[in-house]
Amino acid sequence: MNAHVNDLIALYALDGLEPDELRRVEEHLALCAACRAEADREQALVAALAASLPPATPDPRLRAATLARVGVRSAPRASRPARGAEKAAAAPRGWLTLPRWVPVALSLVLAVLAGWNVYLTNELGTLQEQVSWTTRAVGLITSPVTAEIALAPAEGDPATARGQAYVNQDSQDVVLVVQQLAPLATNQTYQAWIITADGPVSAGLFRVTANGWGMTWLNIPFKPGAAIGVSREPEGGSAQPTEVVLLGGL
Amino acid sequence: MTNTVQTDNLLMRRVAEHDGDALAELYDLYAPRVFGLCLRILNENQLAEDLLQEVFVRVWERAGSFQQSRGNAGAWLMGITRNLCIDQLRRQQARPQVVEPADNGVDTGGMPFEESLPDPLSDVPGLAAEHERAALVRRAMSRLNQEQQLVIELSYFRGLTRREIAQKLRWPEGTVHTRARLALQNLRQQLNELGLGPDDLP
Repeated sequence: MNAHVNDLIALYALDGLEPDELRRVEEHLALCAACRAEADREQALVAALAASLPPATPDPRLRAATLARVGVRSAPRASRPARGAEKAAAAPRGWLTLPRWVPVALSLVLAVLAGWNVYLTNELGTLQEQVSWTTRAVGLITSPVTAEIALAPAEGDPATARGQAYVNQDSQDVVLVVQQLAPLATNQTYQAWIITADGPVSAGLFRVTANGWGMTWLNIPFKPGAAIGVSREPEGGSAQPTEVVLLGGL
Repeated sequence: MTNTVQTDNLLMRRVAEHDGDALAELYDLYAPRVFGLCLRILNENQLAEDLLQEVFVRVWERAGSFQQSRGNAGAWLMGITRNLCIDQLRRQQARPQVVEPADNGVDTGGMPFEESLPDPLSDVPGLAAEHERAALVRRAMSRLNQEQQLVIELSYFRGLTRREIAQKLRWPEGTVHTRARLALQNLRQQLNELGLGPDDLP
């Protein structure tokens, strides 16, 4: 077992290794059954993640087009419904013409039987706002129209504290990422500010993890040429910054 | 579950023998998922449609190299989808003028994990278990902290490498590995708490 290679396996499964690291891992996996088993496990987990995304129904014309590209004539659709597709097969019509409400009623019964599933669906609506929020933040961070503003520590905070503001230059939306800020007391909060010649305007409150990491969307748009600051404030925030800890501007 | 894997693996073997009906069947089974992943990564309908076709052409050409001993056909197919999408994303980023400025990723930044869930009323009973599993995985993902979600998003769904992630987020380079490891570890733990063991994963 190579302890060092073992550390690389998670990012190997996520396909985020640098080329030299990838080579090292692959060479090692060819020789080490234990690490190979670990890699298979992690890859299965990542595959489950990919498979958990909501399915989307493509334009039906794409089926024939795809099959034609490999020289296969469009075969009739399989009777099995698609994995993860949400549409039930059409109810049979013809000699047995049921009132329209009957299939609906049957579905309702099924839904009640799968009651906890429905409950889960509702709960998911709120639970996953956070994921959606992170996904959108990643969209902004990696977008080609994003400008970055580095925030440096103001006096008084650990010199390692840093921040980075990602500004969408079209919409002026801002994601702020901070790290190694000092932990907050329970009655304190961090507050973001957009600072123009007219003075600072509050851009929202946020907290940080135990190791001082935090990410937030600013709740007002950026103004080109403005600076961005972070201050430590009493719970609920303030109208003006009390203790500025990070500051940066274009 | 295991039946599904076996059925799909058999199907893939038939595709490897260039059985056109098998490819059509595979398409019917997997196109919605493949398309869902394409949309999620590429965030653009036309591109996602192109890639959807590309994926099945690639599967037709490469099914012979599918090794049943490691992984299963579904996972293999999703892996091909992800890799082709990331290649496309990188080509796009190399030529940024192709990207429409309106496609800024803020309002439409990829389909999030919570994207409208299948309507339970139109569910087919046979698929309930699969929907349920997918919902649980999405839920487990939502329980990870932001750092952990970010490292998964940036590597797997955006195709960034360790150095690129460190640079984008101003993380010390060494921490990306640690955070990736903790992210998967925590994801597995959350799945366990939700009742999904390793055998329940596809």
